[in-house]
Amino acid sequence: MEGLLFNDLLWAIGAAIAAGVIFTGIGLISGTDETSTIAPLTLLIVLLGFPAPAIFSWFISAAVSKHMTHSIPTALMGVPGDTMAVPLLENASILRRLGVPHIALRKMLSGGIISAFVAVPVSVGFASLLAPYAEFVKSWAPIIFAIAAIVIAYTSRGKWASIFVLIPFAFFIQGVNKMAIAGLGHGIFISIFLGIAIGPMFADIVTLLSPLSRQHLLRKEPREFWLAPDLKMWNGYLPNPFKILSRVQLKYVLSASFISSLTFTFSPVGMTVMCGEIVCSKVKSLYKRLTTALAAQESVTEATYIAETIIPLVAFGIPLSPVALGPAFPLFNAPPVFTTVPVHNLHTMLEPYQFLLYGLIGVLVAFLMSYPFAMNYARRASVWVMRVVSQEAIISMFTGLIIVLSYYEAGAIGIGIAITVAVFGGIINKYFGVHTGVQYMTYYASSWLMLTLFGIK
Amino acid sequence: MQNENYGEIWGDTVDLRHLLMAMLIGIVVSLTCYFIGLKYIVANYSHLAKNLSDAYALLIGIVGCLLSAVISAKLFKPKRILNEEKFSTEQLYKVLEELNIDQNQEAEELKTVSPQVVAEMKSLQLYDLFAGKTDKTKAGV
Repeated sequence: MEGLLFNDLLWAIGAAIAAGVIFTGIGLISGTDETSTIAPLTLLIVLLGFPAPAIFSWFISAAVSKHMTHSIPTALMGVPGDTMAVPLLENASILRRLGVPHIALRKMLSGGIISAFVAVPVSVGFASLLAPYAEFVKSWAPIIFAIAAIVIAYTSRGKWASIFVLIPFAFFIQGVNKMAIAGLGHGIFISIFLGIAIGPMFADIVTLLSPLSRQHLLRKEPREFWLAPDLKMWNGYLPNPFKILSRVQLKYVLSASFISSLTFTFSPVGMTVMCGEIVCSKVKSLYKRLTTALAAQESVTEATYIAETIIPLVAFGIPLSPVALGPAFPLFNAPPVFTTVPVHNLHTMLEPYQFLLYGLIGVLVAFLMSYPFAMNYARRASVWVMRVVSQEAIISMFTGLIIVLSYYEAGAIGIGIAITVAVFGGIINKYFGVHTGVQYMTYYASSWLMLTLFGIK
Repeated sequence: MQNENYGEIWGDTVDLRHLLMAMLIGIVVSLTCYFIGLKYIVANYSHLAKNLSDAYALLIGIVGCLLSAVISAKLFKPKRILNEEKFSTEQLYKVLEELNIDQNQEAEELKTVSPQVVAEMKSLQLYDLFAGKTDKTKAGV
């Protein structure tokens, strides 16, 4: 028996290390979607016949490691590491322009890793407790998002303008989605989502194209950037995440990760947007506000991600959340090894305490490998980016990403919709202060709003 | 470094002609990678499910995005001045102004911040900026 446990442990550690190495690398490539990277490789190891503990710690280590390194492009270049990092862009870019992208990155990483350690036990613990309420939570989600959209709209820079455009914007979003349904037979997500994210860039492009407005953005000289000195917040190679965050930040990170481990059926991105807005409305003073918001947002992303994998897996063995249906899908269903009808997968093969143990091994490996790696090279990487990577190159990559991702989702229609949303969303963002947070919340609430207010299904 | 074609997009300076070319490179290179990848995968790994071969093609397309960034970075040098040593007050105030930050309010709110965060801001040389202790007349605000 003991020999068996030892064997399982070795397998779990080995698999976690392998996932750590692979996904620390993949995370650096911006725009890599988890579903297209973690899911196929996880499927591969399932089919190869890895033991259950190894599969689970592989997955957790892969997800956490990838989240660590995908923060690097998000904080340093303003290019989202993946769709989940999009809500952090606006806050990160302000800190970047204040010369402290490396600090933004470290706050995010530290919030994320602490959150991962919190989320594994919390979600394993609550899996059985929360299971009966899953449907209830799910049915209230759109209403909560609708209320949040109104609150966020009022607290945005646009104030009444944001509230005024809320319903029109919901119409607009559902309208383009209906066009996608008409053209493709199914609705779309990535294209609309990316469209909102790149709105500000398109607003600038349209402004520059028109002779009427061009003057606002023409420049005679290059912009000057400042990069704050490095702040060595720890000794040796391995930083202590508790010391990187201030006490207030720690408080927000812990409560954010705890709460979001419970709301496992919500969209992680929606939760991240909402958390950012809540923190921003409560914390005063710009530097403190933004660093706290980023740390808390990253912790929400991490916690919802882990909870959305663990809770359905431990409680039901059936994929019931967006993450479980995406990147974690092979943990539930990978015939002939794993099946959901009848349930024969990690749910039946591992006990809750094993989920806890092997999940924590996954987090620990990511903490020892990719966390210090990203933390130590934060400022050096910033300097390199500033010196070598021109804005043209960043926009070139971004343009490619949008085109490829929306084409992948919905062909030429996807590209058309992404640009349409970007132009409209970008202009109301740039000129009327209806920022991306308001737009995302409206998007999440829009189908419920349309159904309730106008009876449009 | 005067140039008539400079414009500002997304908070950074670009040469507009370079930008146009960079965007074209981004579109052409990444879509080409995606299509060639898809064709190759469908031809050689026909047993793969459609969603899986699409996902692999997407991966190749994303590699194409990276490739276009590398090409554009080689062709077009950054139009920014990186200042590591000196605190450029003028530029930082400009950033604050562009972000619509109320400096008086910031100075007020800074008083509520804990000493731990203040120390952090001081070592990052950000404290004086928000406290309003730098010489604004010199900064031309």
